Amino acid sequence: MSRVKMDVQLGPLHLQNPVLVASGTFGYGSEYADLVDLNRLGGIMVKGTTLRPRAGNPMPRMVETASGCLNAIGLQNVGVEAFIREKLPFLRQYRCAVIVNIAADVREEFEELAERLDGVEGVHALELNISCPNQARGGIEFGVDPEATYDVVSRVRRRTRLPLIVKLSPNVTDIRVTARAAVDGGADILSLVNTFVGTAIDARTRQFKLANITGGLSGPAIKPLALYMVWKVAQAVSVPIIGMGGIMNATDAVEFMLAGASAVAVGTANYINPRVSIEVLEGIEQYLIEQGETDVKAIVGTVKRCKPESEF
Amino acid sequence: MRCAEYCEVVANQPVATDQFEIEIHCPTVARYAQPGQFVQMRVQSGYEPLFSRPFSVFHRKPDRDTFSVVYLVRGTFTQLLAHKQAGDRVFVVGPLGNRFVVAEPQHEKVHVLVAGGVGAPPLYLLAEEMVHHGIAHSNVVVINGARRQDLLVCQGHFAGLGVRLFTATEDGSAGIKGKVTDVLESLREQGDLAPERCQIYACGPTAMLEAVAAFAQQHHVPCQVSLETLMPCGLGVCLGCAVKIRTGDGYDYKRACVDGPIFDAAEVLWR
Repeated sequence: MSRVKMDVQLGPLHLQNPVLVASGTFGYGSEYADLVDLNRLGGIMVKGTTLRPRAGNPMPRMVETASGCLNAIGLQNVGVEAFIREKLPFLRQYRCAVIVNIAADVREEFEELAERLDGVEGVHALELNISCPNQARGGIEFGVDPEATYDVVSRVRRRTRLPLIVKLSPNVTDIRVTARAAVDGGADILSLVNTFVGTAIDARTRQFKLANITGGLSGPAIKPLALYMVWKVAQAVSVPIIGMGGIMNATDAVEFMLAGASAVAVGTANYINPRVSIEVLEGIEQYLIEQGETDVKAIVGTVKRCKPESEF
Repeated sequence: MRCAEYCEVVANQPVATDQFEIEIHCPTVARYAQPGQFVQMRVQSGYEPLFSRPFSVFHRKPDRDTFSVVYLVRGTFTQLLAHKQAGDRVFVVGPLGNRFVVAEPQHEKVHVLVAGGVGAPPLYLLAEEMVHHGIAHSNVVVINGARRQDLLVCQGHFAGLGVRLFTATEDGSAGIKGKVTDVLESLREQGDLAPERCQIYACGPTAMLEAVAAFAQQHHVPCQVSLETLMPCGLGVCLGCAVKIRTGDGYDYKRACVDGPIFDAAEVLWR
């Protein structure tokens, strides 16, 4: 029994604790089930799911960069029907929330996906991926254009009763604009940030390191950028935020909550330490005890300006 | 059964030029690792480099609860690994991936293990298992190759097993002057590679694997290859280690870390 209250309510979505695992970094849960007690997670955001199966981009698809990683996987996934048939039954055994990240090239496909997953037992929420940087069409295009964001979110909103999370792209001039458009369209929750578009070049061979040329940057390298965007969006909208971007440990997670996130998602760190999400959860509890807090909700958005050093 | 935990280094010794063998206390890997399987290791304390690295299991010592891997010092990660001393800790996830499958009926087959450089360690574990299972020493053929004599790995270990050992170096400093495929060709000419009673198992640089696979295909000899790619997670979720595997009319991307690293050479699309 936990000594602090860890459950959180994100609009219509209740989570037993605020620690999620980010889409694309935890497969469909089964890959980690012998190493991580899935029952302890707040939720699993499953691999980006499209209407039909996708083979993904050519190799190389991933490259290490300074304190980070660029990926251009290209939404390789089994497709929504195989997800429901083959992946979801396994996840239903656990009490953590199952959040399906849905991705598409065209608006109509987003609508079809939302409709297909509405009412399916074991699906607790949808995460609308309008911010994948590795798709030739669609994907990120919706996420960088506020009008397209509004349109696709409101279309999906009409097709589902599930809690709707919209995952925002950081590849914009002012993320508050797309954040507001998503909320106006009917988003219950915002998740941010997806990866930052970048590239890597091999000087010796004079070639790009990724077959796709560009990829999405993740990992600790992006944490200050992501943290800033979460803080900025938290000022601008009233819906709850799931903060993510380079969270490697409990302290990182706490920082996102102080900036205004009601929950957090651990991403790239899952590749390095499969148990990191549980360590983050335990670390947040420890932090709350040390800070004299009894409820995790109490710290959300409580960051203050730093005091001048002279005040001793 | 697999683990993800901090493990203590028992020993870390040079075995050849720029090559080390590190022995690690880890009961799970010591007990359950199979020939061809690997572990993901993390030795860095910060994020530089960010990812763990995969290493094929070389030795298992279940009585000591240890396993070892052999590595070549060639980048930031392996330099950090080379500095680890007895008593230091490393993070280990494993054992991971599939294993080499010993062709049946195993006592009637000629098993040809083709190793290139640091590809040798998992094949040593396989040869050791074969000898343990009572497969005749004369039916276990090891072809160990490298650019130079000082880059050969596991040579003494293979010799110690008493199997048929052939050596090839590109500069002729040990064994025949040439490549592992030259040894395969001469064995074939001697009639030692009858397709119906022979199985090749290969691990080494991709160019070598491709050449061995081409030889196997040309002469209709079944062949398993262990593919090496960047493996950020090793657990099948990042999809960064995809390899092209033939399907009916095209190909599919399979994950080298969980669908492999061992694949039927005939199914691999090399380009």
